Amino acid sequence: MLRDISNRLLQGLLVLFVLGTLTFFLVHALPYGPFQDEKAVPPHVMERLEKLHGYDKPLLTQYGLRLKNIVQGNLGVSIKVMEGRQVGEILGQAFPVSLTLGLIAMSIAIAIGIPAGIFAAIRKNTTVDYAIMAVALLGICLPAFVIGPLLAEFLGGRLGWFPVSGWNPRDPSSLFLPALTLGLVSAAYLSRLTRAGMLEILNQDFIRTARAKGQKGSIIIMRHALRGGLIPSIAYLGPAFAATISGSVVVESIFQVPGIGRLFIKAIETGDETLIMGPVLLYGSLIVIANFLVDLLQIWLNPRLRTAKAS
Amino acid sequence: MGKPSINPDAEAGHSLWSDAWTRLRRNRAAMCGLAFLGFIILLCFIVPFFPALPDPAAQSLPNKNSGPSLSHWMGTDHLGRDLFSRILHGGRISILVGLITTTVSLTIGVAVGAMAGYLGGKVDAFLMRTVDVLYSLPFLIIVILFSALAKGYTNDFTDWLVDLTGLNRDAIAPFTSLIPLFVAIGALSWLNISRIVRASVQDLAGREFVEAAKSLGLSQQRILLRHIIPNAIGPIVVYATLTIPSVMLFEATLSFLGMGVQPPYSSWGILIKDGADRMLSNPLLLIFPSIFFILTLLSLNFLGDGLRDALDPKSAKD
Amino acid sequence: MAERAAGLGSRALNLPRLTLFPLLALTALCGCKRESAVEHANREGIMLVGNSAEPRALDLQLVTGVPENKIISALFEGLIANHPSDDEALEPGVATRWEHNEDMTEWIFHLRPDAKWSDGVPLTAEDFIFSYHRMLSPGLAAAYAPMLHSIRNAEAYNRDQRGYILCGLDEDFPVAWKTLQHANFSGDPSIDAGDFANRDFNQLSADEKKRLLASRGLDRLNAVQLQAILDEPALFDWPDDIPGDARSLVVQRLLDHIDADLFEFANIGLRAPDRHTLVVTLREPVPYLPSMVRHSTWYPVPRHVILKFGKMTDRFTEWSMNGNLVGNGPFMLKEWRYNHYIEVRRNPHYWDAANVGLNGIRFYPIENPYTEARSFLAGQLHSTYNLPAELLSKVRASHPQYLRTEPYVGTVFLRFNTTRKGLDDPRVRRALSLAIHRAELCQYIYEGFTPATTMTPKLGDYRAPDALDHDLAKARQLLAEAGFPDGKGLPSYAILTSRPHPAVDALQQTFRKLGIRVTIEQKDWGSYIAAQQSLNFDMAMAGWIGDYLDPTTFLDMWTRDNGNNNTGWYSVKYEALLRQAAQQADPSSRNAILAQAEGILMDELPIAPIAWFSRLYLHRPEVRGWHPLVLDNHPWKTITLQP
Repeated sequence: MLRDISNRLLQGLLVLFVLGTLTFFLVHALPYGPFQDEKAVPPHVMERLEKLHGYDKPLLTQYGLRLKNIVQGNLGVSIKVMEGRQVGEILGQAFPVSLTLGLIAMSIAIAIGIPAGIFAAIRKNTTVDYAIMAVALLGICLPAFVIGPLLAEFLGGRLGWFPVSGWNPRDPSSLFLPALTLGLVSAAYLSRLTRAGMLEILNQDFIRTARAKGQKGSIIIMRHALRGGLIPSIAYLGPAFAATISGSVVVESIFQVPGIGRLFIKAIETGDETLIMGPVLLYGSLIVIANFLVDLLQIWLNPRLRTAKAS
Repeated sequence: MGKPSINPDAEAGHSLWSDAWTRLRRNRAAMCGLAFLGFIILLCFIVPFFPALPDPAAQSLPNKNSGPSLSHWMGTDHLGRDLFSRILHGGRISILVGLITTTVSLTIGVAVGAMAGYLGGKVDAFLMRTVDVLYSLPFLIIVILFSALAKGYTNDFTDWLVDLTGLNRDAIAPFTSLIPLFVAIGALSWLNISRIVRASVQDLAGREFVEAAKSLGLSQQRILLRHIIPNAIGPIVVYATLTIPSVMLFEATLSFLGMGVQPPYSSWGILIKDGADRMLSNPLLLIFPSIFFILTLLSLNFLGDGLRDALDPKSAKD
Repeated sequence: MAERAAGLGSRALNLPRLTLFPLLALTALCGCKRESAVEHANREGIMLVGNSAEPRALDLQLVTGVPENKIISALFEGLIANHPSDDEALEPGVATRWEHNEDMTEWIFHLRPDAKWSDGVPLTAEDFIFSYHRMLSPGLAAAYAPMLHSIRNAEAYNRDQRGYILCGLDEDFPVAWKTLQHANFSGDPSIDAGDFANRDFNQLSADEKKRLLASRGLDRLNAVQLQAILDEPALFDWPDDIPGDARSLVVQRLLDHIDADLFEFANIGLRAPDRHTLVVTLREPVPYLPSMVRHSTWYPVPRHVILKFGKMTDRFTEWSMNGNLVGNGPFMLKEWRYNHYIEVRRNPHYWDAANVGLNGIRFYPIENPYTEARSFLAGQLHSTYNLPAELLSKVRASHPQYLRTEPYVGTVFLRFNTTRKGLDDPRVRRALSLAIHRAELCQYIYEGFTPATTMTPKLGDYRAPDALDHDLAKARQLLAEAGFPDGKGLPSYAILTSRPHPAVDALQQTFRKLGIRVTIEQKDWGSYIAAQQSLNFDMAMAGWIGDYLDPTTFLDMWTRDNGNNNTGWYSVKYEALLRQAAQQADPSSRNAILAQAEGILMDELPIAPIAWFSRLYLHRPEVRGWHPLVLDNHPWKTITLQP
């Protein structure tokens, strides 16, 4: 078990290394640099800026320096988007917002998706089942940039129930629309996975045995089916969380949420290498951690896996 | 629904497909999906060549945002262009993006998965660790980076291709402008496929007919291409059907962020984004393209689910 | 374990209902109509402003964008301030009055004695000199420093022309600058120095040394390299008419001042005879200087704060961060939440604090204009940054009381790359320009904009003759005259744009009418700029917003070496006229010369102006003291909220 964990941690570090290297060279291959401006930058200014940020050095030297700094925990300063600001400090303000948004969205997804899936499985092949699955499919097929403005227009604008933009942690209602928009897609996937997982378990012999013994349906579901039936959904939680966090780019733009996604898009548009690298590494670490936690959860839920891993 | 099947019945290769077809035909949702897909492909790829259909690029500014009429079945957009015609042309690009990107990701995924599963040992370990690592990358983020990069060089690439082949620039530009998308999405979406294929191949490699082929002295390549991959095709088909809609959705999201299909070529994603922007002034611009987009995606999903059930009778009991 | 699962389970059965409950509760909680953000802000006297983008920074000498400028104009004040309802009227700012000599080359600003920084420290003429010193210093690398180049010798100092400053400006130097200037000071870009610069200089061969030195030029050499020239004169080539001792004197002076700030040597036209008088000497007459000093590049920055957090030329210090930033404007920085909002509050040390109408302003960086409009209509903003043209008719019908359309000094134009085949012929460019139906574009796409008749929009007394019209027949005729009847023989052109815009599609259709094949090429913002600067495009959609109320802000950029030209076009005659105008102190004859220059520009058409900007935005009626202004520089201090 310990070896397993340390292996996973090593792999996580490898992931981050690959990710960082890939990002560094991709950004430096962009056909534009961070020092251009809307109005022409005088050549002597450009030269000075390049020197200031070490862009005058050979690429591999720059790479080595960046690697060294990042290993030491120094993400550098933003070159363009928020010139001179520590990337760590910028992320420190933006990340809690993205994380909160992601967590609320995931909670909404779980709160809607899993019960709907269970419900559909229990009532399989009825109108209720079909209705839930149709809605879920629709949720998968509708892009967030359609759902978002629609929700904002109707729940926010016309009905005036929620603020249509902005992010005010003191006013939870301002978090609702973006989180709902973001959570709906995962809710749809979760409901499909839960339904499938539940159906697989409900068909197994031990459930039939329990039924034959005359146990009540609800008890069967709670006592026996749920634990196994949720495994596919839980396996999906890791990637779903990662997708939610990084997918919030669109939602952040629609609802004016001060998270990392918007920052990142702007950084890409201007080739601000440090401000691209920071979020990329942060997302990478989050995914590594999320996958790791999901693995642990799966082992805990599935005794067979536990013994298999141990051997 | 959770796990894809990895047990196609190898000995009964022929009857498997006819059985599957029989089962699929009984699935009403899947058949509806298949029919609608046929219809939409016909519509998008054949109808635009009818001269009666208005030119999707023809503008008439005084006639902008007009409602549906006999000359414009779905009305006109913010430049007075025929919306129906634009939807059909956009659909062509969207479907092409879906198909080609899925093909790219299938090719890579099958190659890697088959190699890993068949060769095993160090190759397998290396390839699968690579997949594990790639799995942990933030997908959207990398694709955005990738397409920003590729976009910067699309023109140079087109020039190079024109110089190399002597083709007409105007003729190939529509396709080369899509290459960043194909590459960006295709190069990163093969991970699931490779895992599925690897599992199937590992399973099949131990079967008698493969052993028999080996004893006949057939080359590894031949065994892999002729005997193993065809038998692992079931899950691949299912997965491909489900990858197309997710790729199309992805293209739409990239388009929203300004990194998808580039004008003057438009896709459903771009039409929907434009429509969402103009939701208040002309909701039809959002509604009509969305209907086409959603119905196509639903059809693909229904068909994919149906295929999975049909090819994997065990899970189809429900 | 089993019990726990069961325990969970009995509740889980009710999950659907249980999860619905908090959702419904939350819905109900928010369901009641609350006081809107605007109503709340009205009570507090705080204006909520949509500001488009998060500022890159608030160091006014380093940022160039409009969103930054809006915030900075609340936090700082220049020598002369803006008038709330008249773009051209000059309001006293830090200076109470100003005068100039006869040829308008020397200006004296009398500063108010009670001017203070927001931390209570007195603001003096020395602060202004420090500010302009910092802005111009080559080490700071401020992109907008050329705004100050009309000050005497400022350009040489800003460009770090060390040889000129140390030897050329020294009247006692044995060789006159006229002769000396032919020496290689600024480097020869045609010499390939490879990666020699990254290797140890002393390890290079003599030939490599020579190439490196020649490629960099005297002004850019370091101590080791200069010493090498002193030791071994053959390493550097000089014009023959510069004698040997003068050569070594030049090198010796450069070496002696190798790391020195040359501000003192440059004899820059800035002087403070006393604490409250600032004298600015210019290199040429600038009659519009008072209008120009209203631009943020001429604002003062707090020396005592900047030096507390680093050296003068450090680009990245904490001085402009929240908590440290000290200004001299009507407001001071209170809160800065990245990507969320920036809040400024009333500055008690401001000289006119009693007449400041608002208690504060909150700037929201809402980039998505649809989100911004939605937020405004939902009562979350007092004023938006802009309004997408698509929403214009909708808002006009539903909320006419909020809609504002006002002229703005800016021009949308199509930039031609005049080095491309076909586009190098003025007749082809004229044909393209004639094909553009500007009136129709302004009616249906650039709603609220004015069809352009020249590059420079109507500015004060400046009037250039109308030069642009729409005539397809004449366009076809011109194409035929140029040897491309019906576009035959012309290559296919791409219109470069940074974002999809209906006008680009419309232009594409327009040019097709002439038989010219046109495609659209959309690039990321960075690539879009880069492509134009390297002349790697055919045509590009572009826009230009004037920095001050003078035609030169639209005309100076079309000179040969201007970094914003990017057309490959230049005209000796055009530049001669601009120089002639620059020497002219009388405003009306100056305008006449500039109009003549504009005539050349509109004759040759390296650009095809399309429309003059309007500002289209939403604005609540309770905001008083906010009047239409073409430069859009609303002085925040006179605005009040009266719900």
